[in-house]
Amino acid sequence: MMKNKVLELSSVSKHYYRGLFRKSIVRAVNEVNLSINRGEIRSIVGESGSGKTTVGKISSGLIMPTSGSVKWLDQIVIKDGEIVNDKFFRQNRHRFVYIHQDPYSALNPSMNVYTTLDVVIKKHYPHMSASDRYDYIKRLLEKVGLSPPSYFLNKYPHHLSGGMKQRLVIARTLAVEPYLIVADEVVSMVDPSIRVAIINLLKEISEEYKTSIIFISHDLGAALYAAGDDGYVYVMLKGYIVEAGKVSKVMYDPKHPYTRALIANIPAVIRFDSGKRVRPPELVRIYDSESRIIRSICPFADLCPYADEECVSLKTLDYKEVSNDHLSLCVKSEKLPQWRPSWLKNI
Amino acid sequence: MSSDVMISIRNLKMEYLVREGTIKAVDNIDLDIYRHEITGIVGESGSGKTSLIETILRILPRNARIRSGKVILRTNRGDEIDLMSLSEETMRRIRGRVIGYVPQGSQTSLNPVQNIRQHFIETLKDHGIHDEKTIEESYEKLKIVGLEPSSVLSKFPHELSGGMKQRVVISLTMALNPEIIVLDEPTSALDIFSQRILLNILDNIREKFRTTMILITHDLPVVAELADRVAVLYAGKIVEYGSFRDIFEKPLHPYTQMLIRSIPSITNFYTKSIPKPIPGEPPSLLNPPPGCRFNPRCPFTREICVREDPPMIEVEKGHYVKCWLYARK
Repeated sequence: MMKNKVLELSSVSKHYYRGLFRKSIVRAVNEVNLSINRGEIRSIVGESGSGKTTVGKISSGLIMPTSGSVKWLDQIVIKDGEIVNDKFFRQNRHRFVYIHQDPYSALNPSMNVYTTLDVVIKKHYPHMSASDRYDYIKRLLEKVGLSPPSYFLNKYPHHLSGGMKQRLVIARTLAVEPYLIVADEVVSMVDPSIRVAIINLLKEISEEYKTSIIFISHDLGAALYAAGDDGYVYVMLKGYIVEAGKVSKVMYDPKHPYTRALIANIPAVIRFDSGKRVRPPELVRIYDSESRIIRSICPFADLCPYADEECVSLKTLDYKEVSNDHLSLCVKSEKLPQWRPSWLKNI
Repeated sequence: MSSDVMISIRNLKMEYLVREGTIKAVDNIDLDIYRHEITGIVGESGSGKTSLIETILRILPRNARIRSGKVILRTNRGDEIDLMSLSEETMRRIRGRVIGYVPQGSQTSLNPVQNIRQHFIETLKDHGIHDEKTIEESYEKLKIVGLEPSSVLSKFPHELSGGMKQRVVISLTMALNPEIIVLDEPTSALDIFSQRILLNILDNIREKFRTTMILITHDLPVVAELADRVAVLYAGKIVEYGSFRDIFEKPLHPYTQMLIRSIPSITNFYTKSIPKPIPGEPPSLLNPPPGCRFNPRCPFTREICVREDPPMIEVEKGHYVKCWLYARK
């Protein structure tokens, strides 16, 4: 398998300037490093507002970052807010595809399934004959599980269920033979019982066509499943990647307090021997009017139970390599006590 | 845990009239809601969770028709009323005072130009409480949801986070001292820590105030943590009903079993189990499949499943399932 990097973001930031004098700055993404190899699925998890969508859009060239560089196929395309290699960028941008979370608004309601795919194919393969396009569309539909294709060709989006729409969007993505698919919350609008089926479809695609996929989700369970145990996961908080590493390492030995708190607090179908099921929040400081607000450049300091003077006096945020291929943004990564989720013994 | 029934729903049937026909959103539902308990109603989108609640509260849109059924409410004082036969005016007095409702996305329902104090005053006055002292006292309800009245009352909605707004709405509901609170997807728009805090608040309300609660959600883990009893809704029908242990430890209906197995949860990672999708898609309620509505997706479908709708069977005490695997024919 070729190991070349399909995408590489190096210290990418995106800041928005707001207000009358453009003085208020929203730091949507801060110094993000991310890369993905051919045929790999990597997940980004984070809550709403953590900047994961912005990272996804920067990756597919939809948003221009304020600083940092974006490499596609080992070529720099964007550097410090400007397109460097315009020709290369234009030639390849359609093959770095971004899938929106909402399949309902991603499809044109007046186009049937056939036309939806046909316009894309016509645009990107102008020399393909009409009968070849027809065969190609049928193959695509078959691939994404909309079979028999002949049944779906004349259907309009309103005839399709949420899951089918999402499959159609994926088929449209595949039509251009993408290098990278940025799948942004693709399962959050889909019925729970068929979420796994959509993730399995993405896994098949990456396996078969060696397409790289960035799977963005707020649902830790879905994100881990998409990346797989040997996969790679990025945990985002307030525009920072706070922890990155192999899923097995991040889950068994999380080194950032935020990741720990996230794992500890997710509702899960677990049996508790004591009969008491509802757990108090773990590993986060809960505000009351008397609690001291910790001011630090660390994005988690205000909620972090380990935060102290060292965190307040921080001048820069640096990654600590806690083990091979496992990074944490916490200054105390190496000093944190050993931890396992409290509920683990109950499963 | 006392096990007296507070609301018993029998044969409830509601349809929406649309151009293409009728949508059978609530189809012959029988359900008992027990006093001082949290009853979870789980189902996928379009399974009729919200429709069921809107039918009970009679806050349906114009194209909805309640075809049959009774909803008997036994109040804490011992009165017995059928909500379906009440006049609109009496029903209006029941809502809020007896049954509090926190609809989906209610954090956005706060008025942006009113502060929290005004919200309390308006809520109480609107329900006929004008007594200054009672209104003053109602502010204390904010403490139940972990907010300090002195700091929150003068704030406007935009000064609060999403989780705090949700909690304010719950305290507004509590201000009228309802006997039952219905919460529709209370955790869906919240981040994980706010979710956790909310789960604890609801648990506290159950412990301290012994308020009966109905929790509607598509999120199985939330129900698994909180509910005493769980009803599983599929395509407008309840397919399984039992205590949370019945549902999560020995689910009987193929749909419940497959649904629990289909959710990619973080526990999968530690148990090395692989989630399995349920084949097919939930049916359209416009023309649901004949017989059992799960038959097109069920691995155990037999001839009778396609022909006849299975009856609800009590397999063990308090554990009901609607499936031909357990019914005798």
